[in-house]
Amino acid sequence: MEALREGMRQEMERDPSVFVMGEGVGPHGSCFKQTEGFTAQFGEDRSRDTPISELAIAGTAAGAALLGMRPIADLMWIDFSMLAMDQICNQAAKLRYISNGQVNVPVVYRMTTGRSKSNAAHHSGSFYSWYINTPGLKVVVPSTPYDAKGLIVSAIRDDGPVIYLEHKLLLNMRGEVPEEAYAIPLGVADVKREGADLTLVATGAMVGLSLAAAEALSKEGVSVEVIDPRTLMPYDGDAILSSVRKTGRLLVVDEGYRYCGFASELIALVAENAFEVLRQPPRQLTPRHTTIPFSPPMEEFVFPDAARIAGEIRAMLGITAQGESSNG
Amino acid sequence: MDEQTGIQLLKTMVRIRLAELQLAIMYKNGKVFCAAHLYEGEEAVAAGVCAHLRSDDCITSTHRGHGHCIAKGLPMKEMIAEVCGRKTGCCGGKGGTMHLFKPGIGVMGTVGIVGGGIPLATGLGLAMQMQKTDRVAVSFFGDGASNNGAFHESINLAALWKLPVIYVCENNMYATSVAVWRSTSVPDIGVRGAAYGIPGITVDGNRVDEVYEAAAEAVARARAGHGPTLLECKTYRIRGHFEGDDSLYRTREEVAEARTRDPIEYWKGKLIGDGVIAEDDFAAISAAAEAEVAEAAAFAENSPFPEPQDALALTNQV
Amino acid sequence: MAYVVVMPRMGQTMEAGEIVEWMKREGDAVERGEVLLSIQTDKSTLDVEADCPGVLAKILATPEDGEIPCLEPIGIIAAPDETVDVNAVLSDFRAQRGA
Repeated sequence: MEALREGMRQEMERDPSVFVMGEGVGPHGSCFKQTEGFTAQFGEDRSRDTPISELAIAGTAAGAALLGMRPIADLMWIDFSMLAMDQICNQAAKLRYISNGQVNVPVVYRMTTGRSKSNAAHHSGSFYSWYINTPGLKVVVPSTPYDAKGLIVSAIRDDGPVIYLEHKLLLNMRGEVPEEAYAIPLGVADVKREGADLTLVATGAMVGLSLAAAEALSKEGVSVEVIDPRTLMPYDGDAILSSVRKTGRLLVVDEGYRYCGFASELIALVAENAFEVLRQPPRQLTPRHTTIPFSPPMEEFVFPDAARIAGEIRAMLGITAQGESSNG
Repeated sequence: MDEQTGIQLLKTMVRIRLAELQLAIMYKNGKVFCAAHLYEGEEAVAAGVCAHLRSDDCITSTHRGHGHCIAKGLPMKEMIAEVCGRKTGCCGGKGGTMHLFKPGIGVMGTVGIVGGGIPLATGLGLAMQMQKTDRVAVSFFGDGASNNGAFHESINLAALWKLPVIYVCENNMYATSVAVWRSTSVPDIGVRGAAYGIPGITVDGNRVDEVYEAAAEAVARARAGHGPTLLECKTYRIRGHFEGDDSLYRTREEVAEARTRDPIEYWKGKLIGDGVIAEDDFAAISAAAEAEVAEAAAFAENSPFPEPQDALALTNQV
Repeated sequence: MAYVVVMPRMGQTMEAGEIVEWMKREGDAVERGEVLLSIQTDKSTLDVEADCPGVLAKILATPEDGEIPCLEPIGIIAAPDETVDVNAVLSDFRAQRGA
């Protein structure tokens, strides 16, 4: 989260047209302190508190972007962004296209995504497949502090609307982050761990869990390659296909629901383009298809965890679990 | 208002009227193939407001937006070609009747979602303010949109930040097929300005002089940095919601009565009565507009359609 | 110049219509915007106005013809002193539409 903040701050220092707006981004410094200190440094004009008017926040940001401003609009939770759906999906996403390229809409919509602890039905959503499904939007979800900074810089510099997702469980993650500004290009995946037996594509908080599962399985002699697409639209299909061509197996672990979701999209990609190299059917591991419940045992049951991921990998490779078995 | 302005307003209204009637004819003859929402009878609102705008001022508009675009300076050829889906249209056929753009003259989009343009205009105003210009933004929308969250959220924000935006509610008495009295809690939408601490004015939207005077004040106020105004212009949607709408939700007598309050007839009568123009001058204005419309329609019909694969331009592909 | 009146397409879903009644007879003068005839669609009865002024030179279809596809010729408006060769007008019309 400091990495995200630093990325935004450096871009605001570099380019006076960049500003943040949203409920609580001012003196309060945002819900998770993503914009702490911005009001002192940039003034209330560029660190702009708003009423809880998601539709107006999203639309006003898009409108300002039409005249060359580069707003970063904070909608807090992806669940709340549904109130802004018309302005994000019908307006911001389409303005460049319907104007035949006469306008750009360089706006970033930031929102937290994913589960936390007992945040329940209205604060645990991962509805980004709705945005992936909207032509004209780019969708980014970092899984490390390094990626968080490099991707926010690229999102701000991009000329189209970008949905920038911050996973709530990753906001306090620590990691190496260079001080200087750097940009990670959108649409480029990162191989988080190399391996030979199976390609595991994971997003957001699922990356860390997948790496933990891969590490555990390495002790059982299994070599898992973990790929983080980082940009979910337009995603890096080449990176995924070339990994699958090497391993012959695909497992996708995603926090969005499976039906018409990002995981099922990647399975379709591989089925359409690399079916002949598959040694067995590809699999996806996603939350179970239900409203996110409040009570911890139920919530734990719904989401993939490292044990379920490891269990899925073992099942695919036909190996027996050492110790306790965990079946998804 | 000086005489030249008066004549200019009349010309704008006549140009809009004749363009719309031409599109109606093209529609029933199969040359316009989309749902067409025409502006006949509401011309005074677009003409009276846009007369105060510079080319660097911006507007957003609605599904019934042809009139606003013409009044803001969109060349008729480019507009009709776009409505006909041609490559030469102002958006190359990607936008169509409900999505007209010409950023160079401040046409920042007509929008097909009711209320959708209101937050965008608010954002245009925000950029204008942050960039320390004296430009203004105008959002045209209907009575239907004034019952939509976008209207209330946006006006609250603009009032709070004193944005240079004029919210022009074109109350044409119908939100699609629903009469304003069936849908709206107040008889005058202008009073809703008070809820946000901004001026809310209601004028006769069929009288271009009333619209012009009220808009003058609203635009001056916005340019001076004093914030937004809500300007309700009461008018009447002469045609159905779309071409082919049977309008069973209203009586023929009601429409006939509304036609007696025609904005062009009113203003023409005023200018002739005041000795500003003669009948001949009006005939000349009509003939010029007729010729412009005919030329634009021929231009559109003779223009090529876009290539099918142009559909994929400007969108990220995986 | 002769102008061909067609069964109008009045709505996105309309494919054909029936003539209910001609309000004008052959030889009657018409103003632009004046009601020429009424038609019945699958949804309702609608008035059809004249697109241009002139004389209703020829009625090509009547209520007896039943359903007529949209954009098919149903009449011809011509200038007051114009002699109309119906076949020539219709073949010009079809040629132009085909183009």
